[in-house]
Amino acid sequence: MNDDRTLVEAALAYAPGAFDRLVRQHQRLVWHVVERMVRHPEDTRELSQEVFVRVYQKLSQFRYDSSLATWIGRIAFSLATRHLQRKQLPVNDDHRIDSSSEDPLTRIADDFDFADAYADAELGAAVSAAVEALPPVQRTLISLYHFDELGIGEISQMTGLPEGTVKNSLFRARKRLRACLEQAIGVVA
Amino acid sequence: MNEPSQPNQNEWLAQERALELLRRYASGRCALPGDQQPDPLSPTASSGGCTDTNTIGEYRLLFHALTQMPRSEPPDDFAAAVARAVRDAQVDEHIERWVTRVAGAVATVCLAVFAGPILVDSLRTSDALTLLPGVGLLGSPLLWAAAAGTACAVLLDALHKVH
Repeated sequence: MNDDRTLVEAALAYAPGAFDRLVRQHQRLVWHVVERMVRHPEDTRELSQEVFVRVYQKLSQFRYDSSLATWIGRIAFSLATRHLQRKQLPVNDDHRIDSSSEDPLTRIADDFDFADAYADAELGAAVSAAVEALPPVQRTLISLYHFDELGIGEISQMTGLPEGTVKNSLFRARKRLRACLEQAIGVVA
Repeated sequence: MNEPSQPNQNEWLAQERALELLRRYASGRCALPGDQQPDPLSPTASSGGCTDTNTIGEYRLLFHALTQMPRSEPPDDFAAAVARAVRDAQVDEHIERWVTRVAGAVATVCLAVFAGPILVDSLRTSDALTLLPGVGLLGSPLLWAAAAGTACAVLLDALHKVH
């Protein structure tokens, strides 16, 4: 948090290179959030830039009640959500989630060699495709939790969703991915 | 929405247990060579007693696959592009501020030029006002324009400082 304060104060004082440092520190997080939400290379680039323009304009309003990364991530998530809404694309489309109680993975034999199965590139591609098929918010939550290794609390602050909702969305997304993985394993086997 | 409810609670625990095992494995705290720990990608690895081992194994495989997925990263020139975008935004903001000021001033001056003399004419009907020295100057549109322009500039500047 002290590092955040030093960096923000330097950027607000127009110290040479301070804002550039801030961008470099947080560009990956912003890119991941936006990219996972909008899934369009040009839009991702434009929106990610817009996020940092907003950060520049609103930096004096940052109150240190969260980490700078969380605050910037919140701006990224909010802009990406608005972008999807403007384009009338589904933001949190849960209807595609398979809610059936049947658990197809239980049909797999106990001695099935998962590591060997995963060695098949097709399986990796199947998981990638399954992630791409998730609704934008679930895809982003999976990305923040598993790739960026953020905690539930941080993700909750960043997205403005209650912690229970974050957990539930993660749970559903993983369950859905697991079902897709099972289908892929079935094809491979 | 709240925490996953029963009967999903067991599956939520399986997911978290699988993730924990995978992270321990990644940090080298389990399944090191010579350890008795099983391969965390194996479906028969230790479950910690929370739920069935097969489910945990499947989730470990899934999470492993997730961490291995290729990720899109910002291009090398991204920071430079942001710097350009910020500069453009500053210029736009500056222009926008001046256009607002000029438009506000022109509107106020126009209003004063049209409304000022009419106001003075209506006040002239009062005998007391016509007796005052220099009251004829108040009928001049130029005087009203200058006064309104000055007042407008002062007001817009004050508003900008407050903002």
